[in-house]
Amino acid sequence: MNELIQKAERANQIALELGANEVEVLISQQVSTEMSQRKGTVEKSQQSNTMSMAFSLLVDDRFSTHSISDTRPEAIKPFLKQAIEATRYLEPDSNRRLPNIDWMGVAEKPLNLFDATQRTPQERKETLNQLEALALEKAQNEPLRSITVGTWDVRSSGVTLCSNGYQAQWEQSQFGNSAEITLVDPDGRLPEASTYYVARHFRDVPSHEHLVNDLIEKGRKRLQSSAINSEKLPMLLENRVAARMLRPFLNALRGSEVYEKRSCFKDKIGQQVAASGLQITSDPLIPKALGSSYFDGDGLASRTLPILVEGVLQNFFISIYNSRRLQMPHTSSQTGNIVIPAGDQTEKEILAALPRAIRVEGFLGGNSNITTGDFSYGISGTLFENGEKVQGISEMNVSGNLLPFLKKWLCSANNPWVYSSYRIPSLLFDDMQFSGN
Amino acid sequence: MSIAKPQTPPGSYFENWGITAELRRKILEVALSKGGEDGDLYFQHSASTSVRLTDKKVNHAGTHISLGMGVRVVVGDQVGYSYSEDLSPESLLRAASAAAEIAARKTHRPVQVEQTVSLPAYYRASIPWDRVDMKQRVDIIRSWEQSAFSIDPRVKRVSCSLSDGASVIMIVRPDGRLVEDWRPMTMAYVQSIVEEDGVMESNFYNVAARAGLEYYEKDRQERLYAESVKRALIQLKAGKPPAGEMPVVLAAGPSAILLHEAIGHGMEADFNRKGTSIFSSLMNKRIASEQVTIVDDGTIHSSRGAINIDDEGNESQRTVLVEKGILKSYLHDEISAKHYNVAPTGSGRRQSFRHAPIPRMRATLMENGPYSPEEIISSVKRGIYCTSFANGQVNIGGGDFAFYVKNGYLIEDGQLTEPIKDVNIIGNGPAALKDIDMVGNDMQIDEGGWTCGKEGQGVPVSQVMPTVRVSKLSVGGMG
Repeated sequence: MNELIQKAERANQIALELGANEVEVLISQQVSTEMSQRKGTVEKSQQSNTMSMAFSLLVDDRFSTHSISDTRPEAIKPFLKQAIEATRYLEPDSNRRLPNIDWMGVAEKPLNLFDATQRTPQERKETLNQLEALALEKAQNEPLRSITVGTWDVRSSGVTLCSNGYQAQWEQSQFGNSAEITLVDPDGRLPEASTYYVARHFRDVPSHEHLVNDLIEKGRKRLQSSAINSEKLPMLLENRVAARMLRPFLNALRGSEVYEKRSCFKDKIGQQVAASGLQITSDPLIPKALGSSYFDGDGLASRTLPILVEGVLQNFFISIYNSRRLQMPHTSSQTGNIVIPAGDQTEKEILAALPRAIRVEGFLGGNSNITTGDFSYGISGTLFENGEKVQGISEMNVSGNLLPFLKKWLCSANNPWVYSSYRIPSLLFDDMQFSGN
Repeated sequence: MSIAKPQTPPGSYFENWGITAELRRKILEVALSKGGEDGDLYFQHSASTSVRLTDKKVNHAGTHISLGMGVRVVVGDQVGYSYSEDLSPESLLRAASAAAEIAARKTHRPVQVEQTVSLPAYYRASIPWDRVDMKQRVDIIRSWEQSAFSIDPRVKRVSCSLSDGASVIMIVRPDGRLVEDWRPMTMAYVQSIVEEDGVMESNFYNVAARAGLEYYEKDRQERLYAESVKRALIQLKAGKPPAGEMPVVLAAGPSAILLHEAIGHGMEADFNRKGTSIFSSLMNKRIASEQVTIVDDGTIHSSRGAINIDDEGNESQRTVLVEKGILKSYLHDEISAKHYNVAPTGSGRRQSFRHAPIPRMRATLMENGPYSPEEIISSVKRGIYCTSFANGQVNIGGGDFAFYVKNGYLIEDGQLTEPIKDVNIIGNGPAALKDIDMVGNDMQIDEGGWTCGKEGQGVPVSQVMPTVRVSKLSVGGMG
């Protein structure tokens, strides 16, 4: 880490000497290994060791950002010289100035984001062998075409250093395993399913058995799936895919979208925008969680931010820059872990109480318009009646608008997903428009 | 900040970083030292510049430089890959040594003497970006903003960006091939936010090409800001189409997203050699009507998907995938070409030196058919006409695909009526191909900045399409 700090200090000094008034230097390095295996042989093994340097420069109140992967001192100086000269052609924007150093800092709570475990190539290969053998064993009665398994680990660290004296360091790790399965339908289609689990600490990655069981179950659900007629139904949004439908809402809360008037929530602070029981929090301070961090993009200590309390919108994600433009208080420049509290019921109990509902388990394409709130996504999933599986669903869309959508939330299941920065349980929404045949 | 086209002989450019022929040979020898059958070194130096206008100010610029080498070792269909951003001999040899580990054989492939491969010229820049100063960039996007505001008083905000860059790549193969290519790229984007009676809408238009400043001729600049405003204004009046299956007419140009998702990915031979593509058992079989001929073409001059050479060092080409409805070829990299015992199709592409090459599309196109666009629209009793798109996705095995329509119109009794917006369309690739029952005679290349994602890699692609009618697709509308 000392080497990174020295590099950052040198680069900061060069930028100031060349005429920058304010400088932020971010140096990050990453070591990663990724392997996949199919039919008993390693299909791909990739290793990388990278370092990159990024700069934010303020030159006569003009702002620019730059990055370079060639971090040799002889490369940095001409690069910065050109960057600073180019910046002078821009128009001034004093809102880009660095925050007051007194506001900056890092969270003091230990987050335990780094695990120093180093796996040997043999250990990774053994993981692949075990995963593949187990998957083949569990899939022996399935119409199997192909199974591919994977494993990876990533260690990264970095330094942020600002010309106002701020300095912060970070170090984090990720370990993960994955598997994909392709099956054969009677009509020749090849339905596929995949799953993965990722954790900050090696020991928190679920067992191979857990992953393989999950894979086989997901694969079976895709067999002979098809569209049903268009209709309005309750939707149980599976925990691990629910982020896809919530992310546009959170994107619409970004200060830049509010300032540019591109957000359909731009004037909704303090208003009931969701069902009254729905709570959403951005919490970057959960130990070992994938969305945790000690400081945000402005160099301010991370803090927990309520987003929805009883369905009432509490906060936007306002960076220092946007707080100055909007003349609103700074909150956070980024989302942390998005947390929705777990409910009391299992998914099974929720589905059993519904005469007919679709459990959405995957998405295919689709998008949303955060200016109007309109969304439309391709989905796959399962049709249930009174808790009993009727058929797998594919080739269908779910459409709606974010504003009424959030008010259609009925309850959450008791199964928060923890292998993502979206730590949310399965969510039940009423009266969703599904289109199919 | 950009990179001028090298004027030195191929192989010389990276000597600026001490990459001599002797070092290249040594790295390859280390890479193959454990018995690798084949492999490559992929050097890349990229520089790009972007300027952005928001809030009525040209108030953000960015420059980015990337430099490094990737080393690949191939044994059968196994790939060992490593890369380094540090071009010191020690670091490059370490990367080669890591990639070599995929092999465990006693045979040792010798490295041949380098032979330069000469390239075609599917792109050039008469005003390259290294000769364009920042002031010119600032002035041009300022003019787009002012022009967009002048079109209609309902335009409330305009954001513009202009990005450009160039890469020099060098590929070195054990068989002696040495390839050096210079790849320019530019993209421009204008987003307009409009307001009427308190209702806000936004939309955008973008253009992209492998070209220099000369690409921004007057007509193209006008289209860039005018289309952005037009599309946003249409949104004010647009609604959701009804939900369910109906005939879908796809306008010429960007509608090739249908080809890209419904068939293009399924033609990528890595999926087929693994037997995981729905097209893996359909070679030489009829998969579409006789009207349908589909090509993937890396040779369309200056197009975003054009490549002089692929990222394994094989010449780009025009690959006929489907000829009059019959499946004729997949898109091959060298691994799949060897598996099928055919020649590579120049489709081995990678995002950067940080990635191993895999089969990818370039510019996917459908050849003209017999119908005029008017005939096609007038043939539909009740359906939709799609004119602009945002994104798409496909499940390779099941063949299910989707694409998102930003703008379009209802078709009622053969006439375009109400505008529609923001709707996802979903279908199944083989079924949709068979359901293409009218192909237009107005083939058009889309000038938009499409990027295709696969296995974590994004590569620039183009879309070319005449107007077509698909007799039924599932429309994610309302009601």
